[in-house]
Amino acid sequence: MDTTVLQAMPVSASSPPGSARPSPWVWLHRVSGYTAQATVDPADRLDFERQLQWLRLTFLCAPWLILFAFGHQVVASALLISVVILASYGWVWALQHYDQPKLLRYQLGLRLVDCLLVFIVLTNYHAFLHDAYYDAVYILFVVAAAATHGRRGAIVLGAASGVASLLGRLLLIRAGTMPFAQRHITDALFYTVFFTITGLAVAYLMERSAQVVERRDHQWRAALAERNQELERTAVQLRAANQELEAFAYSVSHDLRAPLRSIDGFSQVVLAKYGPQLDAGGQHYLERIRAGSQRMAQLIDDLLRLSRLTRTPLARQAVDLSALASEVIEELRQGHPERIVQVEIAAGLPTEADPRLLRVVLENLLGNAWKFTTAQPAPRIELTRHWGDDGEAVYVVRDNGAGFDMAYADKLFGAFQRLHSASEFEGNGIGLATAQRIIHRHGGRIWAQGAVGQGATFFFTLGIHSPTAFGDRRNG
Amino acid sequence: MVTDKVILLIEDNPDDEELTRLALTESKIGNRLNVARDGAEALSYLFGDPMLAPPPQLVLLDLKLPKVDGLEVLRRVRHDPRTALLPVVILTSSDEERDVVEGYRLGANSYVRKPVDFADFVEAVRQLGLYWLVVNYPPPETVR
Repeated sequence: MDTTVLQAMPVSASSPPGSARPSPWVWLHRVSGYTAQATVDPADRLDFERQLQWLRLTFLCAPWLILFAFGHQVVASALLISVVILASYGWVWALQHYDQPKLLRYQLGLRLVDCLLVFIVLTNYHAFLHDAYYDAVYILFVVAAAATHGRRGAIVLGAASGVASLLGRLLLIRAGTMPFAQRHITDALFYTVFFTITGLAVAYLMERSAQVVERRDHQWRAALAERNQELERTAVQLRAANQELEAFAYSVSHDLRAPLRSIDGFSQVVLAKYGPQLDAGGQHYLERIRAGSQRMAQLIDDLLRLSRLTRTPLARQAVDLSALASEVIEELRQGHPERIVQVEIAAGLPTEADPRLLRVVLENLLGNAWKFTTAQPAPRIELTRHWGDDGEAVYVVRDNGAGFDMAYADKLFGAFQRLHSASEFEGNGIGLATAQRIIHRHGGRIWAQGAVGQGATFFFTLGIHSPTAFGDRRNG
Repeated sequence: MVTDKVILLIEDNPDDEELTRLALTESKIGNRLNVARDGAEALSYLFGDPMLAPPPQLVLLDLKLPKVDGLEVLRRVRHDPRTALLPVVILTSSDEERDVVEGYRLGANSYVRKPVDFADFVEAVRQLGLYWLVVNYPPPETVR
């Protein structure tokens, strides 16, 4: 009869599975800003962008530092590098402070700045050491620009650079500062094509890596959806199981009690009508039949109550534990007026729990303490609270009654487990199982300590951690 | 006269019927006990020929009945002007909240859970008989 309904919670979308090292192309795609858009978390997005800008700076500044230093253009290089740094950090700042329309304008501005820088680099022909280095610089530059502006940026930059280089060279040739005009025009045409192709190549590589990332993303989402479906199926099964349980409990309450009533009733009638014809033994056995059927009725009621506890939803609210305990003790006193028991309940114990269910726990624990101190000359029951290590409230019910053997402590909370015979103390062993069920539903723990003849102490928590949650302060 | 009044017991379990009879005898309640053993029989009794089936002073209604369910019987009884004011006591094993709520909502006068202990059962029947047949002032004959 022990079933709990799982809350079918879907796996959160914050961390994709598969921590295999991504290929370099995937890495390129990641830093291009595509993944930055797919990421939901704004802190993640900023992180991406910062990494992006570091990449950009590395690709742009390092070669230029060398280029312009070698070309003895320190001032120009310093200026250009400052512009690049400002632009990059400006972009990260803009992401944090600008909304979408302004961001687009800022991005456009960045692209224009990049184009201008390319133009300057390309037309500064004489500053370059040799063509091969120039080409390498250019490729790095296109990659860096693609990182900021994506695929389209790479293509545009490639083509624009090609055209700019052609124009630049033509201008220089016109100005007459370049000998071997014929050769330079060929070069210029070659470089135009080369730059455009580079731009296209970078764009193509980014496209491929985008596909890889998208496929992986799709796989991950499919796995997520499947997992959620599985959980949903489980939830449906559990709901059905719970409904069956409820129907079962309902039929138990009707169908099992009726025959018991017959057993009890007719044995009573036999006793009443034919008792004189029976000897003492016969009458005694009839009494035991009646006692058995009544005991079974009690068991059925207890089981029904226990099963109902898992079915009703938990309604957590502020509850005064001291007041509730006092009420329970008052009921016990009224039920057994002949007994004098000293009861100490710590004042003002506010807590958060379902008041009906908490009452059942207290009825069980205090009722047990009441019951097992029957043989004690000076019975005493205490309810206090102390604070656990992590600020958890631990409630303590202590009595100086019959106690129990710690060797059987783990059996204490099992349903129908008893550590005393029925002749010593009445009961059917389900009270503590009920209390444990309720405590667990609240997210708490329950355990006990005791010694034979020296009383028992029961500890329980209700999953409440902060000592200051209810305006309470720790003492000392 | 007290003995003119009839108690209608609507109960499908023969053991419970016998025990109720014994309990009434034990409590010295001498009224005639008529028994309907399922919901359909109960309805045909209540809406049938008054000469053959004298209208009862008190109806003891069990809930789990074959053919027509106890709550449905109650609904029809309350719906018909001839029986709308009839005192109906639900006498059942169940203490499920939904049965209690529905029983009262449909207009039962009282809800009693049958105890397993026969002594308690006799006491409950005695109290019911005393209250509904002696202490309680019934609705007038003509309206019923």
